[in-house]
Amino acid sequence: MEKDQIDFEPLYQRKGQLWSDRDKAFLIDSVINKFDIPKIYVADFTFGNSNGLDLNPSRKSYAIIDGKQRLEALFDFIDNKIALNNDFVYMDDPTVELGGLTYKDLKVKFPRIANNFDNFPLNVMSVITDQEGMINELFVRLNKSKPLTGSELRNAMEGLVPKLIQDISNHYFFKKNIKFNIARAQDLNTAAKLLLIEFRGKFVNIKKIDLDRFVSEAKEAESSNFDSAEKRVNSILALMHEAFEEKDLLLKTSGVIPVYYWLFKNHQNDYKILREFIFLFESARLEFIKIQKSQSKGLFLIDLPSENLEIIKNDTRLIDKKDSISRQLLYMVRVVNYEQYQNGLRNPNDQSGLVSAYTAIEKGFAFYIDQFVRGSSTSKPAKKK
Amino acid sequence: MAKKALAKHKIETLKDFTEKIEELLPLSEDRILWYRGSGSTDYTLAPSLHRHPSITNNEELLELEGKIIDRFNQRSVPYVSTNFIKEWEILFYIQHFGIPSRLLDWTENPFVALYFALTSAVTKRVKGETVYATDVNVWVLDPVLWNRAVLSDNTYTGGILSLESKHLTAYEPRTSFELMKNDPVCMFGTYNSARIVAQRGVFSVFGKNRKPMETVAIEGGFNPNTLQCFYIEIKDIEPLLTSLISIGITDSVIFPDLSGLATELKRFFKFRV
Repeated sequence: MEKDQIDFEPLYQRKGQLWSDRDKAFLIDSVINKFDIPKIYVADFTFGNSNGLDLNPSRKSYAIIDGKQRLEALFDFIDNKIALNNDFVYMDDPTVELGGLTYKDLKVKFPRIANNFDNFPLNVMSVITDQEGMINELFVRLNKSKPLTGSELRNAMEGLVPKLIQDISNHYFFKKNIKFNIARAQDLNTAAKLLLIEFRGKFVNIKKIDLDRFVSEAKEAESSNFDSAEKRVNSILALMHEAFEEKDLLLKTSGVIPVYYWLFKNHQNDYKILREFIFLFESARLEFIKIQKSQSKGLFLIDLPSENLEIIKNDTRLIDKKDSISRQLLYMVRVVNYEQYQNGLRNPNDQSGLVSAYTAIEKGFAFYIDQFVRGSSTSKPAKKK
Repeated sequence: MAKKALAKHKIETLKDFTEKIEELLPLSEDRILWYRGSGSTDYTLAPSLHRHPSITNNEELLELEGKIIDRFNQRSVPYVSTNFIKEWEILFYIQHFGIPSRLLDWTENPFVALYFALTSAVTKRVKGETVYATDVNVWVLDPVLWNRAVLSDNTYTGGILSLESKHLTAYEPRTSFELMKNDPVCMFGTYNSARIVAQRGVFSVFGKNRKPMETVAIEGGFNPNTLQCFYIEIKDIEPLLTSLISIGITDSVIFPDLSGLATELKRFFKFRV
C-alpha cells in the first residue's frame, strides 16, 4: 500500500495529526520492540466499481477507516519525519542506544534492528462495500469506545447535512479568519450550529443532542431547504470573511461565533463597521471585567487609554485611532450590560443564553451607531470604511 | 461525453503498415503498443467466453469460467506437465488452446498480429473458388492509456498490470460478481507455453460487463490514441500475406511446433490451409 494511494481525509474521518511526535515515536517503539498493535481498517476501492463518487470522492484506491493516527505515525517514521524518543529502550538488548534515531539512521547503523520494523506484520483489514452507510457505521462502531467528540461522530452520520456542514466548514471564514483550535473538529461543530440556527431562523438550543437530532431529522427529510440555508450561511460568512482579519484575535473562541453571525445577518448593510464595533465591544468588556475585579478589591480605577489591553496592543489596524477609541470605550463600558452578555455566553449552546448575549451585543451596536457612526455623539465618530 | 468513432487507417502494403506504426509509436504513452489481428472487420473485441451461444447473463458466464477451469484441472493432468500455481496461469495456458475464457489475446509484435489477421481472413465459395469475404483488421491498443482510463476511479498512474498488482485481484478467476470491476484491463501473462513466447502474448482481461473494448472506449470517451484500427481491404489480403511470409513471418514462427511446421509446408506447396 502506498501513501499517495490512501485517502487520509474521507468525510467521516476526524482531523489528522492529533498525535504528538512523541506519541507517534512511541508507536514505532512498540513496533521495533515487537509488541502487537491494533488492526488498521481501510476501505478498499480496488474491488467493485467505486464509480459512486459519493463513496470515494478522492478517487484513490483506499480510504482509511480506523487507524489513521497509527498509519500516519508509521509513514512519518518511514519518511524520516520523526525520530525515536530519547528514552527509547530496545528490550532485546538494552545496552544499544537508539534514542533520537530516524528510520534512515536505524537502517544504516542497526540494519538488523531496522528489520524488526520492516518485517512487522501489520494487520490491515480491507473493507469492501459500495455502501457509504456501511463504512460510516463501521467507523462509528469501531470508535464507540473511544472519546470521539460529538462533531466527529456526527460527521460520520449519513444524509445530506454532514456534507453541508463540511462545505460550510471549508468556507474561507473558517480557513482564514478564525483563531480557535480545530484539532477536534470544533470548526465542524460551529458550522453545524450556524446551519441549524439559520435553518430554524432563530436561536435554538445547539447542544450536542440537538445537533445530532438535527442531522438525523434531516436524513429523513432531505428537504431542499437545507441547501438554501447552507447558501445563506455561506453568504453571511463571506461578509464576515471580508470584515475580519486573518487569524483574528476577536475570533479566539468558537462560542461567540453564533452571536457574531447573527449580528452580521441582521446588519448586513453595516458589515464593514461591525468588526470595529465588535473590537470596541470586546475591549470595553475586558475593561469592564477589570473594573469589576478592582471593585471587589475595594478599588475603583478606570485607567484609560488602556495600553495594557492585549487586543488593542495586537491590533495594527487601530493603532492610530487609539485616542478616539479610548473615548468610545469609556462610553461603552458605562452603557452596555456586559454581565448579561457574559452570563449568556457562559453556555453558548442554550437558546436563552444566546438570546441574552445577542440582546446585549445588539444593544451595544445600536448605541455605537447612534453615538459614533451616525453622529449624535460629542466625540468624533469612528471613520466609516 | 462525446461519442466518437474510433480512428481507422487503411493499410495496403507492408510499407504502409510499418510506416503507420512508426508514426503511432511516439504518440503512445510509454512507447508501447499492443496489436490484435482479426479475420473480419465485423468481429468485435470480445473474449471467447462472451461468445457462448446461449448464455448471455454476465454472472452465469463468470460461473461458467470457473467450471471450465475445474474441468480442465480434472482432465488435463495426462497432457500437461506444468504445475499451475495460480488460477491465472491456467487461464493463460488454456487461452492458447482455444478454451473459452475472459482473456482476449494481444501481441507486442505487430507482424504477429498482421499474420493472424491475414491468415484468419473469412472466406467464401464463389463458383467453386475460395475467395476472401470481408476486409480484415489489426487493432492497435495503447495498454497504458487504457488501464489509466479504466482505473481512473482509483487514480491509477501505473502501466500494464502484472500478477503482483493489487489492481488485478478484482479480476481474479472466481472473484464474486459484485466485487469485480466492470471494464477490461491490460495485463502481462506468464510465459508458460512456447506459443505465448513466440507470439509475444499479452492479454486484456474482462470484468463483469459484456461490452466489447471498442464500445468501452467510445462510450467512455477515452483518449482517441487509446484504441485504433488498421484495416486491409479484400484485394490487398493475398499480396500482403505473400510479403509477410517473404520476410520470414511464417506459420512455424508463430506456432513453434510440429503442427505449425505442417501448416507452413502446406502453405508453401500451395495446398489449401
